[in-house]
Amino acid sequence: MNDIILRTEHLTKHFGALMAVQDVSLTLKKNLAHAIIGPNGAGKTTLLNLLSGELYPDQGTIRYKDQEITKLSPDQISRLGIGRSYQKTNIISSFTCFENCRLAAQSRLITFMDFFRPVKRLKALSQHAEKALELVNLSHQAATVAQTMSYGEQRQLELAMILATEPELLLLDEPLAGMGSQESGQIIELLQTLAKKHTLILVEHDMDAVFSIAQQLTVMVNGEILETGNVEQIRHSTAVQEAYLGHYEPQPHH
Amino acid sequence: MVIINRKSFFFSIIFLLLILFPWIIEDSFYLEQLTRILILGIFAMSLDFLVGYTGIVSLGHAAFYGVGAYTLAYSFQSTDATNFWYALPLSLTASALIATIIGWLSIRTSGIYLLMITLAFGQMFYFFYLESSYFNGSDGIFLLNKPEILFGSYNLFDLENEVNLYFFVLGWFIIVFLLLKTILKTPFGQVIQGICVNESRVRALGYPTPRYKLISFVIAGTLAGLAGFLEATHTGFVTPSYSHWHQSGILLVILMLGGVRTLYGPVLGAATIVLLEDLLPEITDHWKLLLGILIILIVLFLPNGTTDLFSRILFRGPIQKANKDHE
Repeated sequence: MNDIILRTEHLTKHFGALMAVQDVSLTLKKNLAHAIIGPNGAGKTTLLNLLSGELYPDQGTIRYKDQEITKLSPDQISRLGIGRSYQKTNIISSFTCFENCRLAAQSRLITFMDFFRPVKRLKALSQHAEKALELVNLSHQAATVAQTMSYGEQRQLELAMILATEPELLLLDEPLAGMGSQESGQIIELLQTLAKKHTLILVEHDMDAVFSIAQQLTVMVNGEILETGNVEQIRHSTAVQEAYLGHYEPQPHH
Repeated sequence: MVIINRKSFFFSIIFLLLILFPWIIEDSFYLEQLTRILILGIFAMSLDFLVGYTGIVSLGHAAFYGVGAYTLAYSFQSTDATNFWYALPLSLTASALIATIIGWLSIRTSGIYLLMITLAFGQMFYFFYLESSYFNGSDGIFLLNKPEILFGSYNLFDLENEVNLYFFVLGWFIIVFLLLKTILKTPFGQVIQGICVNESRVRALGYPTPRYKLISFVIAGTLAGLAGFLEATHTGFVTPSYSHWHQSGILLVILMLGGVRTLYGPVLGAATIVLLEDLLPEITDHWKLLLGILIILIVLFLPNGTTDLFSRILFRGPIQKANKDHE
């Protein structure tokens, strides 16, 4: 049982009459890349918001390792080792890349409420930040102010920030959206590497990327889980083909 | 790097001039004005810390200014002299306490609601002083003497002397400036500056942002209390108008005039307002109209406040841009 890192039971969230997430029960194994796919409006992002504490479910529970995290706030969940990236780029736009990552790394310090010691003197933080930038190939942009970079680079930076917090479980909401083919190639490679030592929950429309990263897939339609299985099972599932691939073309990738 | 060095060189010159001021210009009127500017400068820097660096726009900052001043008046109640070593900590503790309560209730809101709730708290204090017979209502309280900085029974630094008072205020001004500069460079300072730009991101990185905002609010409120304490010491007069929303409003205007997010910008803004309030009435009786027009012109043509003008002349370009190029 110990290799299960996250388990949701009967997770339900509605917005008024809209059932955004309905009775979702998922079991996630450690060190496995798990993709959630489905048409727009299927409730994928809402599910991530429930997992990261941005929203609270109307019903159901979420357990991370041996702890119930259903009602924890985003900062508490982050400190437990769950990192989150957003569909819309979410960085500190006026900070440099380095400062963004340093702020992220700093959140893991026990003494982060420090009033008199300049942050520059905390060498370990700088090393963490530099390492994270290196992982996403942004080292050359360390001193660049985030908002002046291209959209793709900002997405890479967001990934670097999450890595700087050293999470065990990563919730990634369309990490490849808006990236050029070269950039997304690099990120796919990075995600493949990460998947060996981390648990990933990946929401992504780029099917080639999904199939090359994820070992397990969950298909969501209208807030409900249609099917969960490994890549081959999903590819050949008639239910999925009918409900999803059948009348909904996978988005062409750029 | 050249520009940064030029900047610190320039700051050293300013500090030197401030220290030598009583000997350069021996007119006590100007010393008086400069003392006022420095006190208002402390007040404005404390609001800049909140507005410019944490992203909490408050319309009730004068509440703490009033608490600092009235607490000093309170420590005078039974005697006609008060001990500085007792009065200042009392003022600061009171402002910090009030800031904790108001902050705790306010920071969960944002935008227009935050403005409204802080405005309401500020006015609550104003009306409390106005209606309270204990604090002498609208007549206010005269402080017959300045606080005594006692060392044993010896008055270490006589504040009745206006040059001494000037240095006393200048000392606090430098302390507050350096304190805030230091805090902004620490891990805590990094977090609040992140919150200012994108709170939800900072929270998702694992920081309990409401706690950071509250601490920032308390720091700003306590320093505003210090400014109130100094102003009451300086003028020897405490009235409900210390906490009137007009005071908070003018302070926000000062921030806009000087330029937020710079610390020294608000000080320039304070100087601009004090000098204009001084010069304009000599030109016309309708000087407030003139002041308003000037403020509009400055906001229109110098979006970063008078700091812009200042850095354009001195560094031939906005400071922020110059820094960026050198990173």
